[in-house]
Amino acid sequence: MKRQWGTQNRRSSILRQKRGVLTLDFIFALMMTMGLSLVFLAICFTLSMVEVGQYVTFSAARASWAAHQNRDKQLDLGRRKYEELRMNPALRGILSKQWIRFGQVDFGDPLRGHNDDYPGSGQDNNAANDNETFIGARMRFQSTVLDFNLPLLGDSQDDDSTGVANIQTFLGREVTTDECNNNFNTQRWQNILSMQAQGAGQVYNGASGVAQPPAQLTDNGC
Amino acid sequence: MALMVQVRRSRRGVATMEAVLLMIVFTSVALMFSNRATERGFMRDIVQGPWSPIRGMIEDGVWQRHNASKTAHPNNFSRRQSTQPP
Repeated sequence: MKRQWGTQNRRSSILRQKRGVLTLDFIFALMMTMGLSLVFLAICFTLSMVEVGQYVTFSAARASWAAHQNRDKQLDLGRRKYEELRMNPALRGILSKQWIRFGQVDFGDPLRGHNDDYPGSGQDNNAANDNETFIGARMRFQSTVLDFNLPLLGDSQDDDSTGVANIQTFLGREVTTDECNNNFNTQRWQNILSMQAQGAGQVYNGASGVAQPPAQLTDNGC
Repeated sequence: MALMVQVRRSRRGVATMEAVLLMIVFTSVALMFSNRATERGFMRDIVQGPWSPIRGMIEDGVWQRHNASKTAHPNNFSRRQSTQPP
């Protein structure tokens, strides 16, 4: 009889104690806290990598901005700069996890860049909208860490475009040496020869009878 | 007869039943909250909801949805320099 009473008291004390409640609360709170922490960590990581991507495109755009022999060589410098940064051990290590994906750098049309993607940037030949300023580097960015499914809270996205963006830098570009020669110096020389032919008191005395100028001077920017 | 009365008066199972019922209630509330959060897209509102304006800022530097931000890109500002002859 004493044993039965002892067993009953022990069971009653087990039912009355509340130590397990705290454990249950901790488990639920831990799941909620870890889940929301994961969300904000993913967002912060994504935005941080966007900033890294901004620098990559800026460097590529800057490398392709400066004057060169022709546009292809300008673009080649930009692509080489992108590959240099892309293959950097620190960045390559982060990107190898596939949490963040950097696409290939894209300069758009060699001469007009990405102007066709922007309304009112000159493609309508309107003198008021002749901003041919969307010339630079663009890179496709995709964040796969934003696509997750948390227990009790559900999916983070049902649209594939979430976490995708075009990171781009539009710095414009300097004129190339070929453009300088073809569009400025040659035309200028032809105009000078034309003045000589027309006479009328405007005669160029330095190269009479010469079809091409003996030398063209440029400073990589006409 | 005395044994039957003693069994009926015993309250040892009451706390257990209450614990089971409370567990059912709390589990139901948790499942209801989970289902509501999943159906209403609680996580989507946090992650997917603001992404379009964020994308607009990433691509074009303005707090607008990405499919409407291109006209507000700062490079569209009126400038004197142009590559097109007048």
